Amino acid sequence: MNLVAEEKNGALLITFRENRLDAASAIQFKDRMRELTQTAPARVVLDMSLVSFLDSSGLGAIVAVLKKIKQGTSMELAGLTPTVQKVFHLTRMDTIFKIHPDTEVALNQNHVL
Amino acid sequence: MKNGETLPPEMQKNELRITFLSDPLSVRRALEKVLRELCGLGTTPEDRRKVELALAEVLNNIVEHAYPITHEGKIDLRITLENQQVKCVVSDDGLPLPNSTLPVGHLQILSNDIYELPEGGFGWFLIGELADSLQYNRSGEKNILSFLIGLEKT
Repeated sequence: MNLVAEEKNGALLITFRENRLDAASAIQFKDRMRELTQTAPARVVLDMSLVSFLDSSGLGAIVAVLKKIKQGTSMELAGLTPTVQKVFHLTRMDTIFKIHPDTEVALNQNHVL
Repeated sequence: MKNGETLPPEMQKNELRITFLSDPLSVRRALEKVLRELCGLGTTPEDRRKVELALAEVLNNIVEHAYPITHEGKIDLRITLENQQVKCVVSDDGLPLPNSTLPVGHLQILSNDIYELPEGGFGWFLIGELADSLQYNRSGEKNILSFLIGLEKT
């Protein structure tokens, strides 16, 4: 379960370095994400650009993480690939999460010129 | 197909047949194999996306519900390509679906309250959105689920 976290521009950027978030990995993902987000940052940005496949188990795990995260912390997603986008869109979960095209856009949110 | 190339035995007559165990990692491997085979047969990425997702949801259901005692049984998967459609037939020897009928998946209305959001129950809805002619039959001790996915015109 390869999840790497670093603080960037006032956000906690978590990069998911696996190519599938599915029934086989959903539980480990959930547990690891909970550990990483315990510090209660203001924003969590989850970089999904390496994830080419996500199923309903993966979606459920992401929702579970959102529900457990400290109130006031915003959980955002970046770099959704086509299959992942499809699942979020069909279930309307793309109306619940703030979704950025990539991490660069996500992390520049605070810089208003 | 190029001259001299033949389809691998499993993919002759444009049919792929594989049998595997009902655990999440075996399901992953099966999906990867299906995707690889479909790659060379005039399918688009979107076609393969729909097949992979629908199959993953169907197979996950079997893993979770069909074999509650041993948590491991066989799954038989047959994929055929014909008439601009991918036909999938999945069978297992596990428990029947409740009331021996297909569940109807619904789009869940999402609450404004984060804490009320569903963490599950998306599977049958996704299958319904992606697949056509979804059918379930019980034949002796076997569950047989089949569906079609229409291919994009290329």
